Amino acid sequence: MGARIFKNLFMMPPLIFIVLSAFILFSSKPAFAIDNVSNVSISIQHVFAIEFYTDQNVLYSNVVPFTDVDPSKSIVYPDNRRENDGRSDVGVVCKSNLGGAWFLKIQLRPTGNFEPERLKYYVDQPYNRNTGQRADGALARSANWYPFSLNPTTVYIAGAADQSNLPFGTLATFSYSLNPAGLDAGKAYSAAITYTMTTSP
Amino acid sequence: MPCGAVTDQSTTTTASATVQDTFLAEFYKPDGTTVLYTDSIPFSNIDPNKTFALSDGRSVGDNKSDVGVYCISSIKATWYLKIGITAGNIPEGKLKYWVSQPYIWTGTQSIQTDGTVIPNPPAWTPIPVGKTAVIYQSGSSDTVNAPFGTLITLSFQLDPAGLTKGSYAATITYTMATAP
Repeated sequence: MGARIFKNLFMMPPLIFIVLSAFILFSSKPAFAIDNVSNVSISIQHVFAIEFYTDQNVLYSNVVPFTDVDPSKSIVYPDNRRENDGRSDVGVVCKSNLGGAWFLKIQLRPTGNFEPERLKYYVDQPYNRNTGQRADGALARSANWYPFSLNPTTVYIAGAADQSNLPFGTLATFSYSLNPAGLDAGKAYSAAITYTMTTSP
Repeated sequence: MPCGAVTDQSTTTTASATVQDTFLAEFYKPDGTTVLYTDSIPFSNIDPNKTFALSDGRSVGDNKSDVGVYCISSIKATWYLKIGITAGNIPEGKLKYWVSQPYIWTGTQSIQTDGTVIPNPPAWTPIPVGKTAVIYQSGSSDTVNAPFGTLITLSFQLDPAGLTKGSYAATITYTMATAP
């Protein structure tokens, strides 16, 4: 019986033999597969923070000194600064993972009879510290020197990448200049500059 | 028949047994000290300022694992363990795995297999979407490994950079298969 089957097998047309052989070959080694699953759950803290930044080209943080100012000049810069030196006075890093728009504002709060318009600020397009490239937000006004206001003034509006910019955040740098004309000799003046990161325009 | 003459009598029983093929993957039961999780892996209250985060209860160099998977086979065919993300909202590339060289139990001792982990040497590797990424190929020492099986341990790491606050989820599917 077995010999007859074997003989008949070889008498088959070649194509049928190949198909039958392939069927036997593949059906004798079935593929096995089995699955298991793990469900990963992740909760992320929210971050909305502003902090000072300094390096060799960003000189100051919470104190910006204008020492021994010559009142005969119409414009002076903080200590160790000169015009177009490529440096900045203050850097602030804004970090957020809220995924929404935020705004950077500055405000001057002078002490005594210091006129706010004597102090001017210059802010250039900030940097995305995660990429090293310029941030994708928008300056409220083009980069230039502007006098301070007693009211909070928006200087930068976060772009899409700024809205979730961890871990390194967005760096905005400021330079300051002072018009000392008319200031009393021998007298000390001071003013607080407040940097506010807010979701309110 | 003479009284007292005894003729030996005998009967025979033929024992027949058919042995089923074994081919299964199952979680190693967490022991609390070396393997912590099975079907649920929490990453809670993650600080997004960090460059990486581990699951709850884990720390760098703690010699623990998140998940252990036993792969048991008796079918004399090379088998593969694959993983992939098959559901969830975690952005691609944020969840990574580390697979260490697996172990088999010989009956008297635990020894490392001669199979191949991928990548080799082990490294933190993003878990791809789907179910096709092979992370282990059985070797001669564990292609047939019933009844004890091969224990493959995995750790997971999250890259939280760029994730907005809130909750995320991912389903990781482990597939044991004879096809690579």
